[in-house]
Amino acid sequence: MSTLAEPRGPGVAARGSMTPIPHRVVDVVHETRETVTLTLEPVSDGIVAPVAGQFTMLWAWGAGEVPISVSALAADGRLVHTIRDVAGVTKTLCASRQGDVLGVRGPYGCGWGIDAARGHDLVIVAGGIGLAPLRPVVHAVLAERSEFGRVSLVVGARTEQELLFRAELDEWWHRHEVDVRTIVDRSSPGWSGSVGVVTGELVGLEIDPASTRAMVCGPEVMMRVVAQHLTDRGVAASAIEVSVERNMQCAVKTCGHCQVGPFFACTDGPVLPWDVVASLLTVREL
Amino acid sequence: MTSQTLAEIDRVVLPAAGLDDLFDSLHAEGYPVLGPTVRDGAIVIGPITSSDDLPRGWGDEQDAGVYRLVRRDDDAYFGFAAPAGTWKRHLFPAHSILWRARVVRGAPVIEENEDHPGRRALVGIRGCDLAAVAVQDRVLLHGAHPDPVYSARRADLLLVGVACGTPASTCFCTSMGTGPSVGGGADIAMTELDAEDPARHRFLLEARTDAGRAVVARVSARTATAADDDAADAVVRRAGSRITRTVDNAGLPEALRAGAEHPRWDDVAERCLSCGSCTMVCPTCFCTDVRDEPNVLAGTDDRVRVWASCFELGHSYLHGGSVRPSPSARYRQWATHKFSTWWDQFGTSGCVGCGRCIAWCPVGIDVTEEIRAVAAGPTQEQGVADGRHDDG
Amino acid sequence: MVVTTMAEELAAHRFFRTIPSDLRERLAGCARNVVFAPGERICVEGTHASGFFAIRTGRVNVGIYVPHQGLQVLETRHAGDVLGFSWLFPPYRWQIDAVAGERVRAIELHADCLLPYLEEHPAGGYLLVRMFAQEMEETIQSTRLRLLDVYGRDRVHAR
Repeated sequence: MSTLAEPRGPGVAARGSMTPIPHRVVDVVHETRETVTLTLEPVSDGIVAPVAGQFTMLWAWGAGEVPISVSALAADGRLVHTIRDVAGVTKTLCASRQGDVLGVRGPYGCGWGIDAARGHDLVIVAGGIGLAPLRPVVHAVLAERSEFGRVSLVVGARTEQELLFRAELDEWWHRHEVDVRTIVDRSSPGWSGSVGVVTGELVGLEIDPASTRAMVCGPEVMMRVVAQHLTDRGVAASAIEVSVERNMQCAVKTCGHCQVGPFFACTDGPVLPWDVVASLLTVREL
Repeated sequence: MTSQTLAEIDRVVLPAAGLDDLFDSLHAEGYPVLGPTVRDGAIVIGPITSSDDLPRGWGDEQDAGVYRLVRRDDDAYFGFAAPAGTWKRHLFPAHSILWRARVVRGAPVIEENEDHPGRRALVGIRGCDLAAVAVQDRVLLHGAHPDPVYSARRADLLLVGVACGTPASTCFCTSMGTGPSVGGGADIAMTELDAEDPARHRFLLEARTDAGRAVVARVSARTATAADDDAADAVVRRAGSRITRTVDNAGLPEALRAGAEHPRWDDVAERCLSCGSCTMVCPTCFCTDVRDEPNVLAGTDDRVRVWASCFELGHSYLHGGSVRPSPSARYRQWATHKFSTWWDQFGTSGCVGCGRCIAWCPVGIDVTEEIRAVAAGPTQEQGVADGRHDDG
Repeated sequence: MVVTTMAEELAAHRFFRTIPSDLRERLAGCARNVVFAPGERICVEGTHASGFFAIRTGRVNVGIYVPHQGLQVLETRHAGDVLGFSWLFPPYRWQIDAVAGERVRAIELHADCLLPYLEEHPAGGYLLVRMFAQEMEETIQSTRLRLLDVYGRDRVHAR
């Protein structure tokens, strides 16, 4: 029935599917008050290199395991993850220090359709921590800028202080290769940018619906509003990708927690086209 | 090997008095046996050493919210319907340690659980439960990432099925195409014949695989006759005719998908206790939780996996809250997963019609009734709420 | 140099794109082009609301002055948006402050010229009020979404 029943992403773990591979924390960057970027290096063997939009299961001794998206693609088996402290395991992960050893399983799930976006205009919309899984997309676009048409990045955050990758956003803005727009829910002294929801910035974007592809990641409500805005402007629902977040414990389609109707967010997603999830995300408590 | 031909080995008849011959053969082939046995007033699945451990002379009465053993007036060994216990427990344990980490020179070293029970025979598994093993195989064995614990327990199993001659009122295997006969996957299929007559009480054994033939070849049995085959057919036919509950699978996945907002889900939620009993007795439910269990004194951290239920509030927990806070949404998740989305995910129904969820529901909710109501479409009441009926 | 008429400029603006040309012509008669330098005040809370602005380029920060804290920006109006609802209703007084966030080019439409015409031509008036009602709905919805605090930590609890 579903064309998405089989995993599309690369990277089948060679070891026991539930066994983390030890990685050492080699770099810790405190991005915001509650967000940390960790760079990990395999203690001995690493995992298959992830693609943009995929996630790994990060394990901290005695605390447990959580799914975390890769926030940059690194060389030499290194892994870059940006983690928001939402208590529990993420609190322990965010408290990691250089030299600590964490466990990694993965990479899992389907990534963003970067290849499908070649030759198209690309609208990237990120809200809050949702910029982390989309950052590798921006990197990929900048690496091959001529492969893409107009590229816009709209970033929403609660406040200026909670904007992720601020220095990089400025750098991208100055390069003028990507139309970078930021908007916050609440202004704070000194903030000279926009105040409002991300759709406020989308209104001003010129969009050619026929040649536009969109990638959206953020709180589910925000993704719904953005996808509706884009489809209202004529962008095909199948050209819009969203990243679905659900409780995940195994990441290999055997624990049952991440089901969204017929889909498992861990293997059919997390990146799913809007045309297949729209009807599911609008059913109450599905 | 004896001088018997393969065809003769394939279908033989064993007198009930000689049933231990089968157990001896299984032991000789290196199979410890798991099978139905009476414990705490119910039939459960446990280790069996001889026919004495089987529930001889016991039957059961099952209905919505009802399960009790009843004495039969014969010495049937398999005169009951779906056991209270599940075979699943022995293939996919309710509690397992996936791995243990310990710190060596400042870094965790992780040792995988290498438990491997080896050869085991499941004797007396019904068609419905055999189908359930096949359903779990698809989930836990045939995906991109086979489950290590299930794989280890599933390998080297010998499946000895017994045709069901005594369905309960909760059974609907005929609707799900899983019984009462022994379907695919069995190494040996048995049918218990004429239990009411001690002189003729016997088993028809059909070896279906080489592993099954190796066991049957060791049994002192005579070749089956056409009369034995007819008697076995009659057992299955009679059982099938006594099954009253039904599920109409035609168009059911689509109808349930369309009925996501049906008021019946709220109606059943008024009765449902969200206790999760149905998921614990279900032979196909596979949801699990994992957690770390650090042991400070031993310097270890165990990754423990336990059965979970989609009826638990925390099952769909994301930072901030649950995706499915209402019992209505959780019941809908369970029922639509079984009968609708399982097809999308694994290409089969998630239900085998064993009826355990009906018998073991403390408030007697009958899933076949609930999904029938949803699949029937919008009710009069819903039509009014939607403004489709305007009297005024 | 290409000279465009006010009616053409209105037609090029998202807000006026769909209105019938005769109404647009009439609106053009009440309109003029205005430019605001960055930081320039466009509306002042409590003063007479003499019309509204259709923003052509630039951003306008809309907020409320708070003693000792200055202008608290509550929303940004962008190119393609309209700015100002207070001209439609008594007491015709700005409820907000609006400051150009950068150089802003806009079309200003005068209430003195517009309101009498709309009163006399209910069809056109209805259409324009509907369009404003839609703008208001979008503004309210955007405010509701922010009240949800979807990125916020307040909604996060320990597992």
